[in-house]
Amino acid sequence: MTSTTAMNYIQLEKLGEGTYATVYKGRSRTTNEIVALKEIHLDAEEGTPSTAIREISLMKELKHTNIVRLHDVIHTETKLVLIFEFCEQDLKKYMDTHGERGALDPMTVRSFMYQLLKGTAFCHENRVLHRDLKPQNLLINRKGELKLGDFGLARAFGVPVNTFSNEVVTLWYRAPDVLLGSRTYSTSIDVWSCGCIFAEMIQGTPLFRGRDNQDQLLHIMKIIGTPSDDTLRKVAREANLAPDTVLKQYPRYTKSPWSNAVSRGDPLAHDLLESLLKFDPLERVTAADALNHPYFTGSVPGPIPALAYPNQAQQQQQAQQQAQQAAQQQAAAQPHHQRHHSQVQHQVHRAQHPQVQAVPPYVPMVAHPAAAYHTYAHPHPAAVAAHHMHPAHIDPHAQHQAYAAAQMQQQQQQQLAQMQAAQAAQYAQAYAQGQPPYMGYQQPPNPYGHSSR
Amino acid sequence: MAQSDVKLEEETQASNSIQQPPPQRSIYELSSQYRHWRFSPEQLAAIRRSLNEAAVGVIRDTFENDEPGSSQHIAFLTADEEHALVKHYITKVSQLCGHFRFPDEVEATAITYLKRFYLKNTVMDWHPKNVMLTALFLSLKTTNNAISLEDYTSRIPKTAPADVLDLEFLVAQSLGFEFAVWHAHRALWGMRLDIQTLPNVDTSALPEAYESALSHLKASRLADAELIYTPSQIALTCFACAAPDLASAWASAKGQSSVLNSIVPDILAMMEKDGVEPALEVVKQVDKRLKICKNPEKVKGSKAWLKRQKEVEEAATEKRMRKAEEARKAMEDDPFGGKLDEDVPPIKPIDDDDDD
Repeated sequence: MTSTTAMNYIQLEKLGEGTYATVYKGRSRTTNEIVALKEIHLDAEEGTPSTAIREISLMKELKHTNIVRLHDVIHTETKLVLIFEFCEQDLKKYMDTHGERGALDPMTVRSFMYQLLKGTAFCHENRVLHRDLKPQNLLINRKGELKLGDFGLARAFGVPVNTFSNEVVTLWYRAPDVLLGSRTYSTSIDVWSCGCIFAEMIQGTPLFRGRDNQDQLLHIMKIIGTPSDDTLRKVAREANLAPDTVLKQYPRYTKSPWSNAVSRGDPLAHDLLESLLKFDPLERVTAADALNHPYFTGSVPGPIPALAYPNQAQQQQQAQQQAQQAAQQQAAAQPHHQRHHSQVQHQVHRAQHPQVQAVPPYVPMVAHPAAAYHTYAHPHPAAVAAHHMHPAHIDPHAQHQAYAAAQMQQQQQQQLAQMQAAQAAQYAQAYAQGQPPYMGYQQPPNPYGHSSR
Repeated sequence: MAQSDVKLEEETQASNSIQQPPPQRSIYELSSQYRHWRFSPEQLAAIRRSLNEAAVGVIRDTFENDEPGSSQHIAFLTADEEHALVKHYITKVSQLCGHFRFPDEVEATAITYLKRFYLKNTVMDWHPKNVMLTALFLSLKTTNNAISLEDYTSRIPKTAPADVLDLEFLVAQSLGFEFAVWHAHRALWGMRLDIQTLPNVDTSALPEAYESALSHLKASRLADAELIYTPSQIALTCFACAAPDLASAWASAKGQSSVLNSIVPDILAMMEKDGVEPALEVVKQVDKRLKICKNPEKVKGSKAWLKRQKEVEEAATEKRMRKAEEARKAMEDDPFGGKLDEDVPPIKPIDDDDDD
């Protein structure tokens, strides 16, 4: 039972205004722990606002590294105070202060994107839609961990999904189906937001900056192309909208290559963007499947302790960079089907068994690339095969190939570690000469063949 | 069932491995319901007994302090009598939900809240009539079915908005702010969908069987089943009551046939024993005695209530004085006080007198 009272916390400076509350920094009198105090003003007419009740209800169930933790709920005469774990910054501020004109370096983008998708996948697995994903609602702590916050607009969904409010998600991160008026949206709405945030982290500026609903749609179409009438009709049908409300005369934009719109990204990043930002919500990849995308191959992207240890962070980024390159080269060398399966296992295993890691996730990003691999000791191949996330997400052959693929992966790890060690010296030298880590980076061939260039 | 086949295959592979990973926890096992709201029948009995004993002790003392010897002739409620009264108000939740046409989700959630509340409190402190109204209002908010308080209370006789709001925080706190509930009726719906996809099963009787199972399930809400068993165990029991062959087809497809012989009979016995409304005569009698033995400190305007309020106020005044004194001292003691103040972020404790 909650025995703490607001007296247990000292209120420090104001951090900001939430959707229905004011947030302060606070310190626990008993543990000295720094927390965030979210003060919700009680409505004299209706009591505790249902938004607050909803947020509390969801946060009590969602315990995950990539979701901001609700420690406690406290009540005073006039207000309700939610005690959250404290995070130093939100992603927006992080990009402003750490990015190069807002653009983050590729390693940080990959780490944050992985964590964003993991948190989102966990919500969806728990049948929760966040509905308001944007950089301001993603919190970054000093360990470089990214956490989904502000569940004020979130809600639980059932099957079938009921009709929801159309006024969700800040305009720039709003999915086209919602812009068209859909009220039957589901998890794909959060996936779209993830895609927008991904592009923004890479490029430094929001991807689609519309002024209003219609303008937002045009901004989207300018980049991903105006969908065919068939697609529009299909989206309308799925969303229970009358086709004539959807089939307006839109300018016929052709698809712009991602290498133009998000020029700083590499082909794998572009490919992931492509699958996240599908106009048709049914074609959009799920958050869980996106985690298995080749973009995340190689050393497992983890939090970057950039805030706490700036020097180490550089080294770590470098090490991670090398590991990724080595892995991608290795991946490119493998036959296609096999590569994909071994990646699937690796990621799936991590997604489901964070506790398997012997050390906190922010430690393994050590300077020595080979060490990074050893820390994430691979489980027994059979155990990997036994923990596929969802049979439907993997093609039928995966079950049988899993064992062989995992075994091969183990062997290849040793070779990989050697390759990485050899490359480390080379890259360290390049880095010392002031080259950014991604210079001299060999682009791996696009595994899907349909090059976006 | 493709999915259960895959599961079996996975299990076989896992058993071949030398080194087993920690078992994968299902989403249900991560829920607050699984972690905090499951008990054995013995635990439930012990909780209710000790709550009852503690309440009787406190109330007896209050009476005695007020007027020595005054508690001698009071017949306090037993734990069973308290429970009978709560059960009576569970039936009232269903009536109200019918009256308002609230969805099943709301009704089931409010009933769960009411049951959970009385695992932390006693009816001698808080009468279930009021708690029931608050629990139902709260469940409207938590299940996304909120209506305005005015709409709510205006349609319930002799109820003012304050009757509902005064207890809102108490109820929320007693629930540990764990509002999300996993319901058996959702599991039952899932079973219906599952059975439709089973090969070689005649599903012509399914709609009827489902409706019948649902009525068993509603009756089970009167019993403690949801505090002891999982939603799917309860749902399977109800399906077994309605259509034994469909239930066993489902269970064997899921590789869970043993549940039909082990757990289902236990739940069935519990539903038969406790799934009935308490006799109105008994409830009336309990309620009558409750008027005398309820905690006077919780009765607005009573002598004991006034006394308690006075104590609370005095404690609050003293605390404020102490705080002011400490603040004054801190200012005097701080050699850097004054000028630098502007740069220092204001540190102020949240004003709160809610210490208990």
